[in-house]
Amino acid sequence: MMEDKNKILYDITSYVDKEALTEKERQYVKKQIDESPELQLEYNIQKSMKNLVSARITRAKTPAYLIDNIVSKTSDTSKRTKQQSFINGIKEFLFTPKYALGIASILILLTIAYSVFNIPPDGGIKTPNLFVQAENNFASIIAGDLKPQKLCSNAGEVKEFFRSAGVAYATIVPEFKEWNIIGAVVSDEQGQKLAHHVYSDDSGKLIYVYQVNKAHLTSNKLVELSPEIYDNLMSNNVVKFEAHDHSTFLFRHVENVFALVTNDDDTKIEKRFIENLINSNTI
Amino acid sequence: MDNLYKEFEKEALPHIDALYNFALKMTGSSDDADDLVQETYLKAFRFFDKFERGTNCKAWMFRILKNSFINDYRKNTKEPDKVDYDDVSNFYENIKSSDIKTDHLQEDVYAKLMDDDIAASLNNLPEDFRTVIILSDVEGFTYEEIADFIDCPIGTVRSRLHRARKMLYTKLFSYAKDKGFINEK
Repeated sequence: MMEDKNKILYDITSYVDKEALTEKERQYVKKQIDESPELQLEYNIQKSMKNLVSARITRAKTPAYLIDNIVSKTSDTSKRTKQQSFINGIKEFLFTPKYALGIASILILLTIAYSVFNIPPDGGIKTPNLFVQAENNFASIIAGDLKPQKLCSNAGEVKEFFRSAGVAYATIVPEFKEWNIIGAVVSDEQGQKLAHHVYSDDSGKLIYVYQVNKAHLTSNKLVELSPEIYDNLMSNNVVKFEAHDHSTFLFRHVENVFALVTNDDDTKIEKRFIENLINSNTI
Repeated sequence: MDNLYKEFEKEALPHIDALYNFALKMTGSSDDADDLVQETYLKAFRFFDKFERGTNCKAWMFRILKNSFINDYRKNTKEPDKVDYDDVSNFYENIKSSDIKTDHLQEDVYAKLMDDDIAASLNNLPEDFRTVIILSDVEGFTYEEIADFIDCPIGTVRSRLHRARKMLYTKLFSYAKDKGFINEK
C-alpha cells in the first residue's frame, strides 16, 4: 500500500517536471490529482516549490578574475604538456625512418600552403620560406607532432649525426651552460639534407635552431628568403619576428644562415645565445 | 594539442556559470566556490582527451565538480549532513492535507519572502536533497542527466526531488508563519 502511495506521489513529481511518464500515464496522474484533495495538495506543493526555486534563486555571474585564472592556467598547462611531450619523445628516443619521410612531407606541404594562402607572418615582409618552415616546425615540436630522430646531449654527437645523415655543409652547434642540447633532426628538402637541433633549459623553455648553408637560400626554393631579408642577413643583421608566445630570429654566421624559434625570453636569447654563437668560432 | 585546447575552451567554458552557481550553493562561500570551480576546470582539462566526444560535456563537468567537492573540498571542511532516508521519508511523506492549508499555495504568500530567505531554506536542506533540487530547478537538468551526474537510478532522482521540495515547503511554511505572512485559522 505504501509502495502504491509513494508511486503516485513520485508520479506527481514527474508530472510537474514533464518527465519519465508516457502520455497515458500523465492522463492517469492528472485524473488522480483532480479527484483527490490530498493529491491536489501534493501537486500544488511540488509545482509551487519548483516555480519558486526557478524564479527566486538568483544565479550569480562567474567573476571575471576566475574565468581569467582558469583560461590562463589551462593555457599554461597546455603549453607545458606540449613541451613535455616533445621532451618525453626525446627521452624515449624514437628513431623511425618512416618518421623522417613524414617530416619532409610536412615541411613541403606547409611551405606550399603558406605560399598559396600567402599568410603574412609579420604583416608585410615577403614570404621567407626558411622562416615559415622554422615557425611551423617549432609549432609541431610544441604540439608533440615533431619528434627527434636522434637523442643528443652534446655538440659532438649532434654534428656527427648531421654528417652521418647526409648533411653536406659544416654545421655550427654551440654549447651553453644554461641550455642543454636535447635532440636533432635531418630533413630532406629537394634532395638536400638540412640540419635542425633543439635546446631546452631547466624550466622546459625550448630553442629550436634550423641552419642551412647560405648557398641554399638561392638554390633551394623551399628555404629561399625574400631579397630584402636575404640582403639583411648578408649584411650581418639579425632579423627578428615577435609573436605573443614565441620569437623567431634569422641571422647569419660564417657560411650558414640560421632560423631560431624560441619561447624563452627574447632579450636573453639575443644577448646570451645569438651573440655568443656569432662571436664563437665553433664550426 | 592546440586543437584540443581550443576544443576544451569551446566545449567546457560555456558551462562555467552553471558550475559556479552550483559550487556556490554547495559550498556556501564564494572563495570555496572559486577554488572548486578552478580545480574542476584544471582536472577536466587534464582528462579532456578521455572525454567521449558527442556526450554531454556539461554533465561530465558537473560530475568532476561533484567528485572534487566530495573528495577534496568536503574532506577539508566538515562531514556532510548524514541523512537517514527512511526518517526523512516517514516525516515528510506523512504530512497530511489536514496539516497544511492549501490556500497558502494559492495565495502569493511566498512572494513576500525575501530571495535570501528562500536561498537560506534551500541551503539548509541535507546535501543530497539540495543537490537534486538545484540541478533540476535551478540548472534545468533532466532526470536522466541528474542520474548520470549523481550516479544513481532515475527513480532515486525522482523520489529525492519529491522529498526535497516537500522539505523546502515545510521550511518555508514555518518561516512564513514566523514572519506573520500566514495566519492560521
